[in-house]
Amino acid sequence: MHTIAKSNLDSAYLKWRTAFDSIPTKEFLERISNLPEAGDKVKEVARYLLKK
Amino acid sequence: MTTTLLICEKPDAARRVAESLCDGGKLVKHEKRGISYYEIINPQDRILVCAAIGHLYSVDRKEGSTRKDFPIWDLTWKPRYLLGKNQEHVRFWIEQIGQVSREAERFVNACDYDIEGSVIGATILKYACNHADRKAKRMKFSTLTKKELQEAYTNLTDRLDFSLVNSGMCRHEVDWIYGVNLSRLLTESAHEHGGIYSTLSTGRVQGPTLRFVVEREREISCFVPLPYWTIDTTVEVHDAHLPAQYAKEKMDRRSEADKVVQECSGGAGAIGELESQESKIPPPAPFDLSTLQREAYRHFGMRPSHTLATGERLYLEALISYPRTSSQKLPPSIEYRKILQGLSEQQEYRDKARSILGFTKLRPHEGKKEDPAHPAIYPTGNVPSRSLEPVERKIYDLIARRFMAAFGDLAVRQSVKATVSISGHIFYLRGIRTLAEGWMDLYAPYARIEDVLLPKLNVGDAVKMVDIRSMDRFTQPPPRFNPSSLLGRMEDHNIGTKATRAEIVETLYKRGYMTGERIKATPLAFSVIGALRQYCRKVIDVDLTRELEEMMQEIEHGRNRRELVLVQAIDHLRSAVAELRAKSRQIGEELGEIIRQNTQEQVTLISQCPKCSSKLSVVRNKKTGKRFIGCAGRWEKNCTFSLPLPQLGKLTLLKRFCPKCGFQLVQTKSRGHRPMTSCSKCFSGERPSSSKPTAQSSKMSESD
Repeated sequence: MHTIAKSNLDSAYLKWRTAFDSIPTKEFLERISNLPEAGDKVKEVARYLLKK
Repeated sequence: MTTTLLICEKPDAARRVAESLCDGGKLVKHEKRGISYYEIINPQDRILVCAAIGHLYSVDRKEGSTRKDFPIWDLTWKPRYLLGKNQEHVRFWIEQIGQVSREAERFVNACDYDIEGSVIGATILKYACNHADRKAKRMKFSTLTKKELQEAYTNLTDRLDFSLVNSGMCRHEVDWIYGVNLSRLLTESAHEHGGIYSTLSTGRVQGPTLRFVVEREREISCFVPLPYWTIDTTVEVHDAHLPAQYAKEKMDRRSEADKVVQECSGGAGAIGELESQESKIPPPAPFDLSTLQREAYRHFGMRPSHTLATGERLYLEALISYPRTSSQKLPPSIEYRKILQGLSEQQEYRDKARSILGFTKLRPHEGKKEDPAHPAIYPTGNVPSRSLEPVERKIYDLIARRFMAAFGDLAVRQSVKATVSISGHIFYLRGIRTLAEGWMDLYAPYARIEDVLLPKLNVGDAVKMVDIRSMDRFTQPPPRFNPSSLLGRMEDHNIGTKATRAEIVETLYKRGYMTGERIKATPLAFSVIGALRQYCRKVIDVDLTRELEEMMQEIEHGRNRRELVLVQAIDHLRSAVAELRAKSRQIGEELGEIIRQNTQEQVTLISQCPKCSSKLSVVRNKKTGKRFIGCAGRWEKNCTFSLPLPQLGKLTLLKRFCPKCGFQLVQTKSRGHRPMTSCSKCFSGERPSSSKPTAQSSKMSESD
């Protein structure tokens, strides 16, 4: 499931970047990990990537 | 004088049938070992009415095979008292029916007219009444009203509905053979290779249904929200402040939304176009079971199984027609006028029923769904002879009002759309109002549509932008299933039957595969579906289940044979079982791990030991068998901290904490009692008198 979450995150990042004109990866991951709409596995991956 | 034996599905139904068929004769109630049957002596004939208690016979392995034999492909029908614990009473029912049947020359299956009723009656007539099924007749009715029962008894069919019986028996056989083999395989794999015993189950319908839940959970867990923006505005027209909608509802770029706000802020315009449209809304179709279950969940939060059980009670009281129906049709033969007259005798429906009776022609609006056996669910018009329980009252009210609504006129609504252009951007002012309530008035309070009124507008009226802002929004994950929407999904995929779906949903809860009203799949569900998906996908394949379902429907319509369908189902399953058995080590290890984690989670507290900060868990005293909270640091750190627990009832560790001391709360549930929530540390609880520690538990705390 984490693999699917990571792949969803990757494709969503491109859409976020277009939506905000540009958004740094760190800010994207931080916002995702705090959004109530984001799935559990997605948040876990986002937090892991932030720590890394 | 001929003696006729009638087999009814339940004792309440038997009583009602007996009372209805006693036409100027004598009705005697006989009772042996607490089981009653009725004897009616009419001038022309003698009728014996016996009741079953649902299925008295069920599928099991053939004689000669033992519980150790696996997989099992040979099956037979056996009395239920041979199959499970606490079924000994079934023996007395069968013996009594057998004994009474010896007095009869004519036999009638008077169970509910559907697949289950046909199977219940046919198996009793076959096995308890010395193969009387061959000469038995069928009584068909949709309500337990006196008139309908008398008519059904006069118009008995020549023989049993064998196509329905065979279809029903085949369904039981296929479900049993799937359930027993697959569940056994999972349970034994976990036991042998995972080193832990836990009853795991799956089945022909259970597997695909659980798959829906797991797949939805997976989607939610892996969901990444995408941003979008909407424009929220307030405009001023004729001194009234109204919300206006921007022509483009969603914008994928923030810059685009910001630009709209910037350009329109403080702007003004005029109404350019005014569109008005009338729409006619037809009444809702009368209830079939699934729609009733969905509507009851929507309005009262009642689970589908609860709605069905309540509906059945109302049916047994002859207040509504048979609830296990897929029909949305109300044939004239049910006599609309009589039903409405009956409803008009009840104060809460008096005015509305009378107004419908005033219509020159009574023609109900009907839905598309049909059921050859029964009409849609409708009230019989009988006035309840007792005060109904609150849930029964709710369901009855819903059915009664829906029935009346079916005769109502179309509701007419008018929507108005005013187009406004401000700084080159288009906004809409929208209003909607009801011109004619029609059926909505008859279905109140269940039809709730609110009006949004606009002041009188004309083309060219000035519009001023008062407030405009862009709103950050995010796409939402797919909604979790609830018991009602899961049932809907099963129905959409044509898996299970109207009678069994609610029960399957309940089984999934009981097995610990899902939790909550907004259904969440547990790790165990992920593990079971994961194993089945990886090692034998076809057992959770919706198409295979639907295919089998269709084959069973073909038997019902006389286009297929029970034996052929069973052989085909076994062929499918045989290969699946072989595939799974070959992988039983991997499956067992995976499942064992999850079960162990689950069990551990269920007994480990979130709160830590206040003395040594080790983990606390629920443990049992080996000598006394009593439970208490013990510290994991006992062996490493010599910590003797312990706390008492309530000894009776099922214990759950809540994810809530004591407002006084902050320790994790526990809850105990005992049959017939309200759940008791308490704190083991400071002894405060929601039922303080019973949550105080007992003398025994205090003593245990000291000694342990």
